[in-house]
Amino acid sequence: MNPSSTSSSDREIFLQAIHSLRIGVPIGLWCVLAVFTVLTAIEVVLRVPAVIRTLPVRTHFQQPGVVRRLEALERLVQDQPRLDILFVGSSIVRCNIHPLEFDRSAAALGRRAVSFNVGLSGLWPGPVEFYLEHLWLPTARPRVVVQGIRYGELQPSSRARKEEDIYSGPIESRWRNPTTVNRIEAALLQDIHLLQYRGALPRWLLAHRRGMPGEDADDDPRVITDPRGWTPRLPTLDVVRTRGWVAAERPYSGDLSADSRQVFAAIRASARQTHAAGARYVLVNVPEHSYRWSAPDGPARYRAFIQTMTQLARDEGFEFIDVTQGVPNRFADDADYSDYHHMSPAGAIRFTHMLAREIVTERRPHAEARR
Amino acid sequence: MLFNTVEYAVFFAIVLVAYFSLRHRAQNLLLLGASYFFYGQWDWRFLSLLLLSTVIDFSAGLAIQRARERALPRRMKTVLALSVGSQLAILGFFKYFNFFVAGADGMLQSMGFSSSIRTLSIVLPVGISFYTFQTISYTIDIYRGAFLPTRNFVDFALSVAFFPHLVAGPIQRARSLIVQIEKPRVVTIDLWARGLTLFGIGLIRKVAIADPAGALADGYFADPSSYPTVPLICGLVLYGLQIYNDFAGYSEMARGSANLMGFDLMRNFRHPYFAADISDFWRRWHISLSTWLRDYLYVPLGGNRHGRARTHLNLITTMVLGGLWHGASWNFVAWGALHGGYLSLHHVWREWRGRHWPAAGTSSRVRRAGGMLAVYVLVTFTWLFFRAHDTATTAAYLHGLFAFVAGGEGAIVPVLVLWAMTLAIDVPQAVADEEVFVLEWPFAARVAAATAASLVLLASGRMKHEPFIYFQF
Repeated sequence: MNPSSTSSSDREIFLQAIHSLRIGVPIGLWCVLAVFTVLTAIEVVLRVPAVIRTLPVRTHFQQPGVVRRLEALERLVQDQPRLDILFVGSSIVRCNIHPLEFDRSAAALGRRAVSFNVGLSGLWPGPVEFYLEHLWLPTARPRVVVQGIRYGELQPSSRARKEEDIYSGPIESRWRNPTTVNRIEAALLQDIHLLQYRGALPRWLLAHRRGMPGEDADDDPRVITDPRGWTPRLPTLDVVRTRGWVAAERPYSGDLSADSRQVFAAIRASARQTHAAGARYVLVNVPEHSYRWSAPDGPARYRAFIQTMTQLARDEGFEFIDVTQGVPNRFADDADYSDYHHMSPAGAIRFTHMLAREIVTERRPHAEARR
Repeated sequence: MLFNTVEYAVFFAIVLVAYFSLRHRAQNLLLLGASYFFYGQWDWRFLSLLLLSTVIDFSAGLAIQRARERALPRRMKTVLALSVGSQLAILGFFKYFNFFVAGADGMLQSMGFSSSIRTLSIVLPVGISFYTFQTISYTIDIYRGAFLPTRNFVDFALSVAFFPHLVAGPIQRARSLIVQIEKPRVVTIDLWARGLTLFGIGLIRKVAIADPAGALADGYFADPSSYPTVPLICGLVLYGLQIYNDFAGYSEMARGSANLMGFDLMRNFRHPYFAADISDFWRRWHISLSTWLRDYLYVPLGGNRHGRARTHLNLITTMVLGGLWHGASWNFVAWGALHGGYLSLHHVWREWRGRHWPAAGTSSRVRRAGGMLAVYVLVTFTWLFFRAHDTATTAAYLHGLFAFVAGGEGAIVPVLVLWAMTLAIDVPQAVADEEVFVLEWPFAARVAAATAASLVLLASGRMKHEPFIYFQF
């Protein structure tokens, strides 16, 4: 074996290699161009709503629910240069505020309104602010943002989706850490449909692990949500109470934890983001069943909660609406509820009409003062 | 730095640009530096170990050759023993020290001694089993006179550390790689097309088949007692698909990367699940390891030259050591022993059939299909011992498998999908007897295949990159 080789033969072989590469480039280039053309055609097809509906839900957001709500919102804003009212919050917004009823109620009061509900299960105020800033405000460009809140959301809960899970989503993680590369990647993920199905195949396969498809993180296939984002719940409070399914939902007691400061900060941030986008921000107390305030200190706790939220609104210059006017017993009818905080359709319609009256006709003095 | 990451794409692109702007000798230096950088991405500390292994065998190769030229056979043997011994000592310390210490401790305690031997917290250097076996083959080949040692340290160091095969093989025979390193490489467009296609096929195997199969199988192995029998059977099949596509995918990506630089690494897999008998399986599965074990362990042990009993013993010993090569665990020993047993039984069956049933009534096609099915069932069942990392999981899984609890039949759906995807690659490869079969197709079919592959990759790619299974060995 002789490892040595002359430099001239090296050069000849090298030049020969480069020459053969040059000859081959057109064939390879044609192949790449053809594949690129076909992929572009597929990208165009993937934008057709009928095609989107037949394919599995896209995976570019952490929750399939965000994708579904975004698709419905995009369909709505195609015909609307600007959305009038956007409802944001958790499942209490999703189930308790009925946008079509809101629009009807507003029309009856002499105002035309087009509203949409992006409330998502388990979304506490921190992630609500996150999606509001990055997704809902730029997409919907609403005139008014209405955020629903309840006392239980002022502190951490096992009902809330884990924030670290939410922020690990494909787009969410890039928004969370907005380096230049991440911003470009997030923009590509948002705009190129071909990239929005990454992981759809393994997700579908994993759904069969136990033999039956079904995704824990996605409750949309199991419940009906109307085109404006409202999810009705059956009036089942009497049934679930009899069977003890809501035993965990006891009357409120104890003090709020220090974590509630983060919730207030998130609400403030939501208000500021909304104002910065040129929209009106309204915080709404979504009333829970009066049972939650039936402890001896319940009424006092309720008053303190309302006062705190009113003060927060006054300090930040936004509106706070409490349709109960500080009286928890205003929502005490079992027929209005599915459990102690999700309303039945009748309760949702009643509450939505009250809310519409407040939003369409009333102006808060402290909000006006800041304008 | 995994092959299926953007980091590797950037690293490889930079290496390629630099590689093609340099001359032969400088290319070798560049590749050596790049390979050490690549390895250092896992743990810089173990670069010294890689260098030590390299220095030992480079020196040993020269010393053996010098002794041969001076006709000193005893010195040749001594140098070989020192070289192989020191390599095995390094491997043994990092990979097996705790296993044997814990075994000795357990044995002493079972004999009634109060033992307090402590295990050490040892980190296993990635790829140590692969490069150790490769360097051992170098000195043994020189000792056997099959090969002359290289006198260029850079060339030898590159043959050990060449980044496409450094961490998980193929366990390239030093002689075939050093020859390629010593000569200037010729890179043609055909080789580039071959390399890119091979890399693409490997990427699909890894991302679209192995990772989803692994995610599903992990669930079954994490808690086997909570699943009925059908999902547990699916779990074994899925693990079989995972390990095959993961390792074959890695090997194809390694070989594809090497092709792009004008190198040719040996083929590591040849559709092993199409094997008609268990010996055939081992001629198709992890070929670089099975041929290494054959040439450097089974044959030196005597092979089949010393009678039936010794042949069976040699087979089982080779396979047990092959199992142990994968890791210091009784599960790997059991896996290797079972395969050794199967090979041994197959030898017995072949002899018996030759004597008593020379003209079997069934057609060769039916016999082949039956053989394939039998081998597949055996191999898949035996993966249980490979995958379940402890005896408790193995026992729970076995109990679940044979409890015949009904339910979960829908778990077959992903198995069918992932098997179909595997066959979509393996069948054309087997029919054309060509790994990059797609290059033989007409232009339109090639475009269709590339588009389909792109779509599958887009739909499969998860944001999390799973490491290759064989990196742990």
